[in-house]
Amino acid sequence: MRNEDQPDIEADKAIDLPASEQPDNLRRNMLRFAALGGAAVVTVRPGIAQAAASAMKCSIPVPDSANSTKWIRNSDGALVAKNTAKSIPGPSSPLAGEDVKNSLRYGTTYPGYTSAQTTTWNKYINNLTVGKQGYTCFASVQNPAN
Amino acid sequence: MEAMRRLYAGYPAPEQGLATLTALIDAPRAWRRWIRPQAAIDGDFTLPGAIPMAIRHGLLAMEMAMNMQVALGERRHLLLHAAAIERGGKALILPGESGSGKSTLAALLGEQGWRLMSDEFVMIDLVTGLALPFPRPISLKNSAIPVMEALIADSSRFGPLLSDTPKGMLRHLRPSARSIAAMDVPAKPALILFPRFGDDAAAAGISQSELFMRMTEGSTNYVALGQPAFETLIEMVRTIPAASFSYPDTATGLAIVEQFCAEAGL
Amino acid sequence: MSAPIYRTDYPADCLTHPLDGLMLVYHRPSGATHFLIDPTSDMLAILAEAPCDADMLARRLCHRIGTELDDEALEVTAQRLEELLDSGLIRAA
Repeated sequence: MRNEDQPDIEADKAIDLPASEQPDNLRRNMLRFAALGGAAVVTVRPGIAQAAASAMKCSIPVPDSANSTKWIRNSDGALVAKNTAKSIPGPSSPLAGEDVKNSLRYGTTYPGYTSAQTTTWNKYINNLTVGKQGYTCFASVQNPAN
Repeated sequence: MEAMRRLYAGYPAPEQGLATLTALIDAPRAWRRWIRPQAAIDGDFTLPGAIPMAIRHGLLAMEMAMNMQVALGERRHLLLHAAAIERGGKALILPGESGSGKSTLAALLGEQGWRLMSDEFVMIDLVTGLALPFPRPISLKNSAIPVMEALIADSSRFGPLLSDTPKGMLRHLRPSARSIAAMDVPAKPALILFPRFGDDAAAAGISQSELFMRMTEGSTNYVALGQPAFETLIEMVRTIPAASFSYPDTATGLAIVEQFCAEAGL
Repeated sequence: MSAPIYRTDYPADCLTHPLDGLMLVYHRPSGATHFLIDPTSDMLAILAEAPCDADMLARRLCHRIGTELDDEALEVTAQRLEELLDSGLIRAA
């Protein structure tokens, strides 16, 4: 369970956890997630790749695990020392790719968090570059085919 | 035929001679049994209405026939519709349909320090996972033609200029002597990039599952090969990084490719 | 008429490989390759343990992944069973 009073809990280091190890609330959401339309069994056929469900199971740790104790500055998403004014800690677990996609595309808020937190974290995410942890997920959520 | 001989100068003589190829050209209906429309020849031509050809495009017909012979005959390799170049024993694979720009990018890089393995088809050995080359003449189209003409002084490497083909202007380019000499030298695939010509410069990482799906789309024989192909492709997506990128012009495309290669250690 | 019982030859006659939270499956009897998205791989695992009908499958599925057995769960289970039937990964008796 996310707890906003404990910002120094280390963010999960692994990006893709096997189903049995994912936080309970994420597993509960999976059934609903699958109900939101789209096929759940995609058969490989040449020429069908465009119709395939994208792998929205990736997630983005904010910040990256090497900097897990840093906070994120509200104005520009840069990483700053813990407890710096006008900055906030990251979420207690990596943000799901699907949530990031929806937030960046439609302005939705990350489940369990406020819109102010969402705005700040998205600034961090939008600054991710090749090589930074989470970049690949970020890049794939920006693909309009996903 | 003289043009054909010149294009293939330096290649070892084919075992069966060219008579086999003629037989293929004369039997378009036989092709239709084996080829799904999506997996057809690199889109120089679509099958219906393209056969038979006018004599002045006989060169092209030979080219297509060879494409098909490869696609139909190979059973020990996973056949990918992709260009490939090699440097330091490692291969960069550029999958894509016609128009993606893969052939032009590969041709350019093949003249700038890389060994061109193929502009069209890459064969992945199902046992070793290595990429095998197939350095046939490169199909240059439209604007790619003057670019390569400016780069390559040896005019004998070019086939005749073919105008008014369904895809516009077409000219074949013989790969470098180095490429031809290394036609049996495999390389380990180390990076997979999906180019898309015509948009602003952008790049996106590709997840393993998406890569698996995209690679099957670009393979003419994945389904037919069954379990060994599944296992080979799993290993590839597990171990080889992949990304897609778009580029507005060739110079930008080349720069993006080199940047990715630097990051991937090619 | 009683509800159909679903059976599967997964994973016994399959090669499976997890990728990005999806399950990639090569189904030997058909030679087809499929991507399975949650909760279908859980559904197949449940049927592999013991064939059952749709209602029982929904019940076991919800228990397995820790959700409520509500109307939505029943509907999702039914939808996904159809897809699994189409794919040849399960059959109904």
